Amino acid sequence: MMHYLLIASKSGNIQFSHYFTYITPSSRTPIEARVITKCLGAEKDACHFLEDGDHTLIFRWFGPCLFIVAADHTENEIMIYEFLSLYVGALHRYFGKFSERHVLLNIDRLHMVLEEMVVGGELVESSIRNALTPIQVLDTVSSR
Amino acid sequence: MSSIKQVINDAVEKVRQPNPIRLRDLIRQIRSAKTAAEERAVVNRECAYIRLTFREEDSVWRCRNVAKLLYIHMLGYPAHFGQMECLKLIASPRFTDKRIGYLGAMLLLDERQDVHLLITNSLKNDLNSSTQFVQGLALCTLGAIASPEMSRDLAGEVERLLKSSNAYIRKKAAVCALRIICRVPELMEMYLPATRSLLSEKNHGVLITGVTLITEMCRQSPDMLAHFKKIVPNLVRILKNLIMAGYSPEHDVQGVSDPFLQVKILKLLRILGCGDSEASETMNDILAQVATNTESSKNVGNAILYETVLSIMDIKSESGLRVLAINILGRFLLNADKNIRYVALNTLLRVVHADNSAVQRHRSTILECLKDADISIRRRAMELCFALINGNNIRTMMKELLTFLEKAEPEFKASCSSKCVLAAEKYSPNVRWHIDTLLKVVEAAGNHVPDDVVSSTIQLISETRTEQAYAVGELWRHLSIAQMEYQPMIQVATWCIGEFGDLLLSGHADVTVVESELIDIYQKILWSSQCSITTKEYALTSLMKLSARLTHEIGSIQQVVSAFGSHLNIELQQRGIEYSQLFTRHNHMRGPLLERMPPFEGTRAGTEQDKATITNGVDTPLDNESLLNDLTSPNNNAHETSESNALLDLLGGMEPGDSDTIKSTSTSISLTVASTPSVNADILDLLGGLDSGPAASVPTTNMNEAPPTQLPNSSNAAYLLDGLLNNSTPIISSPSSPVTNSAGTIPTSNSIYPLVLQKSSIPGITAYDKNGIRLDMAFELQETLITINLIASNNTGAQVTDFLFQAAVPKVPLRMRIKLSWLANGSPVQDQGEISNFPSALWQ
Repeated sequence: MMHYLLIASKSGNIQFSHYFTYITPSSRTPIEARVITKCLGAEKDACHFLEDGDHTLIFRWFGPCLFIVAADHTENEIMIYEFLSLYVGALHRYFGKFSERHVLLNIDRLHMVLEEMVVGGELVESSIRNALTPIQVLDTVSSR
Repeated sequence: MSSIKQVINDAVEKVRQPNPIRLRDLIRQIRSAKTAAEERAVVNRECAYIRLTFREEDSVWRCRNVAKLLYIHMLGYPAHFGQMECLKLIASPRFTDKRIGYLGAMLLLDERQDVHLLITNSLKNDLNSSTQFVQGLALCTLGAIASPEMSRDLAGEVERLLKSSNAYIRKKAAVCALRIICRVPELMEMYLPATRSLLSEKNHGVLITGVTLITEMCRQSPDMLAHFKKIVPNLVRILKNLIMAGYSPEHDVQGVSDPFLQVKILKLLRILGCGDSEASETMNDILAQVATNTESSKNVGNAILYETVLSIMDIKSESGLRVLAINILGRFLLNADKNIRYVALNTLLRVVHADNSAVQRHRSTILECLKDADISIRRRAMELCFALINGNNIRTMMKELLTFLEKAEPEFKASCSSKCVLAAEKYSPNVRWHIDTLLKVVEAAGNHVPDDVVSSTIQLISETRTEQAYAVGELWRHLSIAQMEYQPMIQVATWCIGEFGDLLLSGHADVTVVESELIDIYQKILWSSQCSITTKEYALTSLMKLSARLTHEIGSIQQVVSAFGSHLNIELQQRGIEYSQLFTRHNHMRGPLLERMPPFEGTRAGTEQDKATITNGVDTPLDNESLLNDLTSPNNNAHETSESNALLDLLGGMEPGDSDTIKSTSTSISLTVASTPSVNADILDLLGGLDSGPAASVPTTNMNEAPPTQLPNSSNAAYLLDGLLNNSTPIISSPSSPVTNSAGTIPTSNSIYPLVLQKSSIPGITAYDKNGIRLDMAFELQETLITINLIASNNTGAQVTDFLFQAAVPKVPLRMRIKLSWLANGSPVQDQGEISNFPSALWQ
């Protein structure tokens, strides 16, 4: 089960966070800071799986953005690594050409796409097309 | 006229209060803030504006404002005032409002607050809505924030939706059901009938969530697990179709069709097959097929292979399949990708205990990983190496591990060094190698050595007579070039040099040392600011011992020692003064006092776990307390090591010969004394002989002085006695020389208790009276603590030596099995018996 997903910039600022299990807002900031520092400290070709307490951290760089997922120890780490790739692929398809700017300015869309794919920490939809269809439908309806 | 006025007013209003800025503009503003203070100013201004609009109940822009609030909340600013607004948004009929409202509810609301419950009604309405997207939204939110109360309320709705005809809804309902079950496990049965149909889906989304739901059910309840065993053939079929089917564009990832579903199914198969040979047999083929057909050049392929390997290792698979799995792991180890290597090491760690020989084949690769640049890999490789050590490869492995230890990070050093010591203990080919290794560990680990390593090393050296010269020579070499900051090394070295200094000086140790060099080094240690107090304590004591070994430099030793008489630290001062006394007033005692110590007995770090031995007095006073407790709660096995084999023997257990760790079944009833060996010897002779010799007060002292104390001629009896009897009495000379068994008593006392058979309300008993030996017991009861005083008397009129009393108390009721042995006039006598005539007053 995944616990949270963060997107951070190269300088360590948090740009997007989605929590699948509830953590009090006051304790979110130190957790995020600690986790981001750990992941930023890893080298280019080092192992992308780190440990943080009883969660495993899986992180991946996509351009200038660092995506971090915290999951239980029982999860298949490589699978979550691939899931990050799937998520970014979905965003790519949705926005046309996904870049850091989109992360900054379209946070609500990021939440929605993520919610279509993962609910309560478990993967729900593995097909990008199926995940994006509802959102695209709603976009066309609301823009009319 | 009035309408024109109206229009003008409106326009003025609009200019004065423009529309709230959009989210992306706010983000731009915040990001363009150059300092933190500027950012805070922007955020505070916007928060104030938002609060104002919330108060004015403006429903038009509420959605936008809440979206901004969520962003502000993500940055870490407080946003609790938006919670009610989220509720209002949820209740709104517009879909965009609902969307933001539910998102806000997910991110802002805490299930511990009452606001949470207010959503339940909205959720219920939305779950029954006609639009699938609204339903999906509600299901999503419920899946994310379900509290136990909410789950109970809405479980029925979710179950209904699980049977809906819309795949989109079914998919989300399944995950919602999953979360509900996690929060309220009792509701599991409700969802059981619906799950049956989930597996016969075409839609992969529903399949994934269905499999996850079933996995969770099986994980939580063994009954469910048994129930779902029959779906194994279905799962196998689905997996087969996935692999065999051709390219499907919507589920393809890097050439593999729906790897996520494959991994989920493999996980479920693992849970279903674990421990069940029938189910495992059904899976064998498909697992073999997946393992061989999946392409390992892509990452997704590796993910599937990883899951397959985990499954194969957990179920009762046939041996060929297991070999295949280990080979896959071996291939992973050679992969250039660090992630894969990490995963392989992790898995090997889990299987090494089951399939040790198979993993041994990859030993050289694992040793290579010890030198990897990545810290996660190094850590896993280290743990795996320790698991792979056996008698054959100990030398090569230890060499690599010592190199690793030298360069390791501090957090590794402690665990690595103690594991090295354990491994050396178990598998060392000979003693010299063992000593060498321990010395290298102490040297390489610097200051991060756990405490038991120092005492283990010292114990080992003191035990092996033959290697002492070699050891002390090595230690001298290290000490003369040592850095003063690594305490354990210095402690071991000074102890050994103090003990065996004569070997060093006489040339047995292959080094030429002059006495003045020795003194110089000691002075360096004792005056160094980097050495800890404990190290200086070691050094001072060992310097004193040297005064009995050296010939020329005694004067300078005396000077050094007396200088410490005015040290600021109490312990060192005390030692300084007391040792100085040994030079002046008690000079005659100095020689015999500082003689070589007899070898230690008892456990070392490694032997504790494997062999049930008794603990030495080296351990803390706590041991004594717990042994004392054994009397009152005979069931208390907390201190397992205090049960010796002799105890088990008494209880009808194993042969004494089984364990080779029974240290001396020696003769005398021991005492616990301070580190004055020669004084001990006299007293023990006294006791051991049961002579009617001059009485000497027996100092019973704390078992744990500065380390290491020793227990000369300690016997198993002592510890049994420690546990079971609680008295300490001196010898009193009298014709029949009653001798009391002393024991390590309340350890802090240094005083001597006069022999008092206290008048207590509980009558004493004569426990044993045969062959001229008589055992009398007197009892005292203080609340729940029973104290037994035992007096053993020799009525034979002849000398009795080597008297040994052993007792064991099985659980309840209170009775005692005893074993006695002694030498009467040189001929051994032995006896066993049981004491069951304890007064019943004892166990009220």
